[in-house]
Amino acid sequence: MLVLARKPNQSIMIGDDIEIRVVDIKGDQVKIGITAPRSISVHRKEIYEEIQAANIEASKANAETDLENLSKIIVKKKKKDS
Amino acid sequence: MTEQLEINSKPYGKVKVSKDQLISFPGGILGFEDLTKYILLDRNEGPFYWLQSQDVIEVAFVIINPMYFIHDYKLELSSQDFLDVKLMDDKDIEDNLLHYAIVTIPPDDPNKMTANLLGPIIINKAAGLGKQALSLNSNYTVRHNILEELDKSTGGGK
Repeated sequence: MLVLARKPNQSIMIGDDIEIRVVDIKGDQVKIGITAPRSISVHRKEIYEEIQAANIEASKANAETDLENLSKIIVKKKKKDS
Repeated sequence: MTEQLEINSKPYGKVKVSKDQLISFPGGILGFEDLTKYILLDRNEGPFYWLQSQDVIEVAFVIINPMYFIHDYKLELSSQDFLDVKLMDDKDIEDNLLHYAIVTIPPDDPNKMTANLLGPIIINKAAGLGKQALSLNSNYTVRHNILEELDKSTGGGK
């Protein structure tokens, strides 16, 4: 990992199209501004990791999962709504 | 009549599907970035479908349309997400967007099944393209208890 020290309002360029700027520093929190092309998604890392973990857990769906039964339970519950 | 082909699925073994059930996920999904070919399986399991990997049989996801169990669900994504699956405008989205949440079913207590609304799956059914997008709505999580959400819809009334 490349580590660079920046003061507030200083920036880092990644390639020609991505800019990371330190917008503000308050106590132990850094506000970071990101300018990037729309084709590049930018998200907090924990979110990525959360979704990744949830996907992995979900993929372990049993072949024997009784979807038919679960489906009956859901459909029955939903009917109570109307 | 769309061409049929036989594929191998984790839940049902060998099944016949039509070509328009083959969905390409160029970016894969988080945790499974190398798996880019999926099959959308509808086997009359009520609101549930399967997203079956064509590359690795063991990888198969139960999915559900969030609107089924959350009456005020809103799909909030960046416009780039729609462009990534070649949904070019609102009409295209209206005509061809399918969207689902991946369901996690705890084997020891299936009633506690949860749906991931933070990372919904979007599919362009005409183009056969899909991706996992990240919701811009920070109220959504990766674990919404489906039966509890249904209770919320029925309990309150209008």
